[in-house]
Amino acid sequence: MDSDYTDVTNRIGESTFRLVWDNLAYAQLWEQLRTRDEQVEWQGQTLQIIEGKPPHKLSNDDDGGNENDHGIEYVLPIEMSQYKAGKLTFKCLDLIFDQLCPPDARRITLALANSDGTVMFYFVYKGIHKPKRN
Amino acid sequence: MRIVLIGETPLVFNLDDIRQLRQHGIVGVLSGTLPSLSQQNVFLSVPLRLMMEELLWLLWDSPLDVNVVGGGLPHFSKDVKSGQIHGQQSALRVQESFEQQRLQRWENHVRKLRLIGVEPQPGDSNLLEGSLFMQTHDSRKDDVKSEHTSSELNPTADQIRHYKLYRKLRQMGFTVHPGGRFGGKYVVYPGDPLRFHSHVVISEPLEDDEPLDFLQMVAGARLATTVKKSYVASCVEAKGEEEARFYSFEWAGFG
Repeated sequence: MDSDYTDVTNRIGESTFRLVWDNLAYAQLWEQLRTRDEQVEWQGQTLQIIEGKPPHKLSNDDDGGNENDHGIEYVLPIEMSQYKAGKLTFKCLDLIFDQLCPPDARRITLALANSDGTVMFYFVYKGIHKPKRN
Repeated sequence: MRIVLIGETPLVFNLDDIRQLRQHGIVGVLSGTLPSLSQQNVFLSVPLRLMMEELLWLLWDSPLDVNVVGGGLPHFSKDVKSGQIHGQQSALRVQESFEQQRLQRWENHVRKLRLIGVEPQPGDSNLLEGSLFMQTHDSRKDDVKSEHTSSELNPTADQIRHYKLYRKLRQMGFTVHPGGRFGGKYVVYPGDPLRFHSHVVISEPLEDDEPLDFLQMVAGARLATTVKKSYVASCVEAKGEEEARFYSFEWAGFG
């Protein structure tokens, strides 16, 4: 497995980036994982997106429509700290959508990495977006 | 249309007004009930309680002719001391009145029993207790000046911020309803709430450099997902004229 991740470490020295990468690769079984080149410095953290392809489509709304759609998802690893305020603001989300992911990305997937090793995945859409069909 | 503003609570009492408001996308919350037969949430009646945002929209952006009337405050509710004095005085009045009634009723009781040749028992007075009452008026008798005009309405910065969010959502074609039941500030519908399912819970507005609380986001988004909704974070800057902005969050379905 290619491991050209950037080492962003959290307070207790674990790599948030590595945790999310490994979770995607070995727990969620994503393929074609790759670190995107674009980087943004945000309040002492380097934000960078992992792109990859999940083993099955993640939302029923994804089929058809977009021709550039190759099932690639854009994952932003971010530290979820339970004991202090997070650092994700609207300004930061603007930066992420403008500078980190390709312009035709329909969403990003936020990967919230906890200090206990768990990772939670949440979709983020710009504007008001209807929930996915079940 | 007459809207009574009591403290910061706008109330509408007229059914025709309520119908008209509904046609303009103002749903409000029915809040009237009877103290002796209280109802919870369902089957409530007039008055219709509005959000401050709705009142501001009616005054500033709607074609409706709205007359805001202050409820006014009775003199005894203005401070703690006069409130206590008023309470003591009225308790005293009730006691005096009850004492008179007891005497009168007991005399009547004794007179009636003697007519049919029965001697009254001391225990009979317990029965009379239940029949004591004091009439209260259902309209005010004091001379509180209640009318004041809408020009005196002075919303706080926070109310104006919420109003900007509310107005943006209306402009986007949504009907806006209070969202506490779903863990948000508003829940918005594509039309009348009785005809449509809501897909969106809107959070309290943030400043653009105010961090999202992840635990709150996770709680909101997980709850919203289970009721087929998206959790939408909103941003309204207190300064500046920029419109409200949104990002939607949804549980990815794994992890």
